[in-house]
Amino acid sequence: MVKKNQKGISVIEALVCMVIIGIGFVAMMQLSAYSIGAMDRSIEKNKMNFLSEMVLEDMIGDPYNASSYANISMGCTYSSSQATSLPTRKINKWKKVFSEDDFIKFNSGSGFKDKKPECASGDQKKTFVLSSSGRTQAKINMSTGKGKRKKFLGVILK
Amino acid sequence: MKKNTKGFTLAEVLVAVVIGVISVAAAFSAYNYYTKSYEAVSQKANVNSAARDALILITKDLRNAGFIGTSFLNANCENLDSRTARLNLASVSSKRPGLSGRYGQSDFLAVWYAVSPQDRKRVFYWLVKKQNSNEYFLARDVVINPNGHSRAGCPGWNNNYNHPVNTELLVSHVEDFQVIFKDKDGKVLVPACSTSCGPEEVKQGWQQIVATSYGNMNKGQANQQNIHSADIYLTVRSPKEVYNSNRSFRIVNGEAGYGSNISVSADKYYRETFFASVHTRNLSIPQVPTTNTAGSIGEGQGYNK
Repeated sequence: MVKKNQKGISVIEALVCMVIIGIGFVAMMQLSAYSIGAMDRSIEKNKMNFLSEMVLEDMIGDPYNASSYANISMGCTYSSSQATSLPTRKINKWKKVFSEDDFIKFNSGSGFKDKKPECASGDQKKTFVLSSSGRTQAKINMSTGKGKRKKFLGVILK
Repeated sequence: MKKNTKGFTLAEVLVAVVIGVISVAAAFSAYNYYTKSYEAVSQKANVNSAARDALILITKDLRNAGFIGTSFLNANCENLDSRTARLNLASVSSKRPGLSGRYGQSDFLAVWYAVSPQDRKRVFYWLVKKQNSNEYFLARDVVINPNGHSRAGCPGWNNNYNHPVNTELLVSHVEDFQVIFKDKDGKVLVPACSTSCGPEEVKQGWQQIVATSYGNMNKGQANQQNIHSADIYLTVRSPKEVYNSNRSFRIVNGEAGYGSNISVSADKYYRETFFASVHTRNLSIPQVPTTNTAGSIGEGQGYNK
């Protein structure tokens, strides 16, 4: 016969305790993972800022051909095309930079490059030029992370 | 045998030990994984931060390059006239031995611009080898009035004032630094070089004398006034290893024939190339269409309205 005032903890109590500790542990791990991911995303956002500045800097440098820079979409891959003028050369350069065609290449069979910003479906990099009342404005819209992270930057060109 | 024996049975102890070991192993493994991930992301963040800060400085200097204020020619301490003030504006020398980094393919950038009616700033950027190491860092050197103070009434040379930044370390572990000047048509402009010119500029005849509206100059000096934009590439390596396995890289910066193409032997370091495009405000000016008659010439040539 089991005594009623037996000391110690029951199996149920021990299991409940373990589950609570486990949940806490998993939560801590997720917090770490989130904070590391947030750092990575901030690097990506930082890069988006600089890339959008690059586009607008080029447009500021050629304000009288602003319409040539309108509605340019930068995709995930780059194929060189014939460039014969300042706008076409600059647009070619943007496409090359956005697709990271050059810069750093892994030699074949040595792995892959984690592109930042990632180029996924739903992402967008597109320029807009608006002219009204003698003013010309340029804008670039960028979204990464399948459209979740957005960046808009605009300037008055002239 | 007593029924109320205190303590745990062998089976309970064994189960507890197994559960404990599994918990500790999971915790250790997770801790190890997150520490490594954190270390890798930290390395990336540090590389990003240092490189972007440097690019902001270079961009600012290039935007100012060639600025000569309206009263500068009458008051500058170096006694420069309209021709000599334009001999040094913005210069790139490519692949010059001793100034071209670990792989011998980097550039040396120099810019000059007036900071007051009396003073002109000269800024150098190039890769410098660390002592007792094969690593290179991007250095910045600033001199005010590099030709000295020859105008009457100007103060004497003072190192604290005239050489405020002496080969300052901007970014560590730099593998490549390229600056490609472009003209108003977006074509590569070589030679645009007035100091420490390299083999590429020599090949393009930078010392050939040409006539300009400011008097005779050599071709490298005259071309500086045609710089419309500059593309800057900076490839930086993480200080510590990041990847689990060796990877071999190829660094390809700049334009074919005027950039770098470097094969790096396999290692575990993270590398990234940072890029900035700069429009020079004071050198080649944008083409104003002849049909545009709305503004004055001054307005038409302005950039920062």
